[in-house]
Amino acid sequence: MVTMMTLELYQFDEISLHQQLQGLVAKAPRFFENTPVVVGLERLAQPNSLIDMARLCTLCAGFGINLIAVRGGSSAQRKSAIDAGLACLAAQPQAVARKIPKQDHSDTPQGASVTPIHQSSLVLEPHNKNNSEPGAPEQEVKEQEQTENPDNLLKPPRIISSPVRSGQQIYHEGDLILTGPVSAGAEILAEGYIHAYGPFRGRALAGVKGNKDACIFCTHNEAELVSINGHYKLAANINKSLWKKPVRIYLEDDALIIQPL
Amino acid sequence: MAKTIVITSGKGGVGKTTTSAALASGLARQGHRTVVIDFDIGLRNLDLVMGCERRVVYDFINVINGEAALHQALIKDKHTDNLYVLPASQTRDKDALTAEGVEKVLEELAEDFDYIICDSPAGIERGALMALYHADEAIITTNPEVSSVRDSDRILGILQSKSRRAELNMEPVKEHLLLTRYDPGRVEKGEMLSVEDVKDILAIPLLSVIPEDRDVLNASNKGLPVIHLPESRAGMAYEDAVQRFLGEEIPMRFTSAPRKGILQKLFGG
Ligand SMILES: Nc1ncnc2c1ncn2[C@@H]1O[C@H](COP(=O)(O)OP(=O)(O)OP(=O)(O)O)[C@@H](O)[C@H]1O
Ligand SMILES: [Mg+2]
Repeated sequence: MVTMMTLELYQFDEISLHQQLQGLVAKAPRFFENTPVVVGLERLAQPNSLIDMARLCTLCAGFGINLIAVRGGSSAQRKSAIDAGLACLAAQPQAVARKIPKQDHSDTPQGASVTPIHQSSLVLEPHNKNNSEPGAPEQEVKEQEQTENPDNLLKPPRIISSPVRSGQQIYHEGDLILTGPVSAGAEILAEGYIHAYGPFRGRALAGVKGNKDACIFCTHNEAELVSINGHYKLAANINKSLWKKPVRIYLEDDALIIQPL
Repeated sequence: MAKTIVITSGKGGVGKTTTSAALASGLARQGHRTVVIDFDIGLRNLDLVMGCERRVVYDFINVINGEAALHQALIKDKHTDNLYVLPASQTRDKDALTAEGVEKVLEELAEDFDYIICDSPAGIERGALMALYHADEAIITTNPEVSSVRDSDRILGILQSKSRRAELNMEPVKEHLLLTRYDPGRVEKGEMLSVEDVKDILAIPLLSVIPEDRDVLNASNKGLPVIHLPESRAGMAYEDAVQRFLGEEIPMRFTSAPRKGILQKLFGG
């Protein structure tokens, strides 16, 4: 079970956010300790406002808040998130905020609120055509869907034989085969499968455009995070007996299974 | 053909300048015409370690700005033939390092020297990027601790994506791992990463292991590169690095703690 916090952002005003976090951390100093935090962008008052995610990361880091991903957001916001080393999760319109700060944000949202979520996996890029709320982020996902059909348009596999280092990101619209090591702090994203033959210490995200049949094969699993079609686990939540072992990772009924090879 | 070698690390204070001075001196001692350049604009450290700080008249930035000719700024080393130092400026800021300026100076040096050693500043910003951009080979200076290893990993990624060789799709920059300030006793106690741990994470060939050694500080206080102290362990390990760099195969040393004598064992010394 992954315990994560969501920081629901209503607007990115550095000063007010700083004050709000200060208040929160003063009340509960250990609130964020060792907890990965996701920034929810679905409730932004101005959905297309430009947000410098690197600044947001720095600001949060100042309070010991470890951001790992954004949820929802415009493509520019998501691009900025990727540049800042964050992962991108899909919008979750149904995630209802249990707000911790006592201000009421229901009418005129300001600043941010924090929500703890407890679930075994979260959805990164769902292709939920049915129950999605209309809004800018979802609109964008749909536009993409119309232009690229995930099943038919996968590109041929790409082979990476040099090491992938901390801070590097590799994205491929098909299967990715990695023969060298992948360092902690590196991110591998494939619309298809991921096969890793060297030590894997980074983040592996397969089936990122809605392919729930995608798998990850990894001969030496020390991954920080593994994800298939948005369902993910962090290293801390992966069984210790699978550490440094060859594993196969796949989805079964929306549950992420990690199996020894 | 001149070879350009960057001494880099990401993290600060790991021993880049010490290494630049030692390797440049070692290569020159073997008869190779060598120049060592301080890219740490604003700090100026290399000239102190090389013991030539009193003879600095013009610097790297003066040459880039056309305020001095290259031969006016180069300082001949007083310990070793074939060795010259191009000092950094203490008064300018890093923006004075322009890509075109650096390139012009390196091209001119390449006509006269076999090895151009670039002592990089810490970090991954302009100065560090300028120092590594033209490299043919890189000496990744790393201390046996997690943060240093992580920064070295980051620098390796930058070398393979932002160097000139990467941009021009040439053969990649050749990488060497230099593990410095290694203390086998502390490794055994689990306080530091081992040689194997670091090799495993960075996955690049190991050039040498330089032990933690007080002689390093003593030597640099005297302005004498530590490789000139034949009795010092760090000096010997740097000499090994030079030999290996030039293609000799010699066994690694200074990787395990000295054996305790039987009496020490008995009395728990
Ligand atoms: N092998 C060693 N044993 C003991 N001390 C060492 C060793 N190597 C370096 N030092 C000491 O560590 C300090 C930093 O060394 P140095 O200046 O070479 O690092 P640097 O990487 O160039 O630093 P900066 O990032 O600031 O440029 C100096 O005081 C030096 O004497
Ligand atoms: Mg230095």
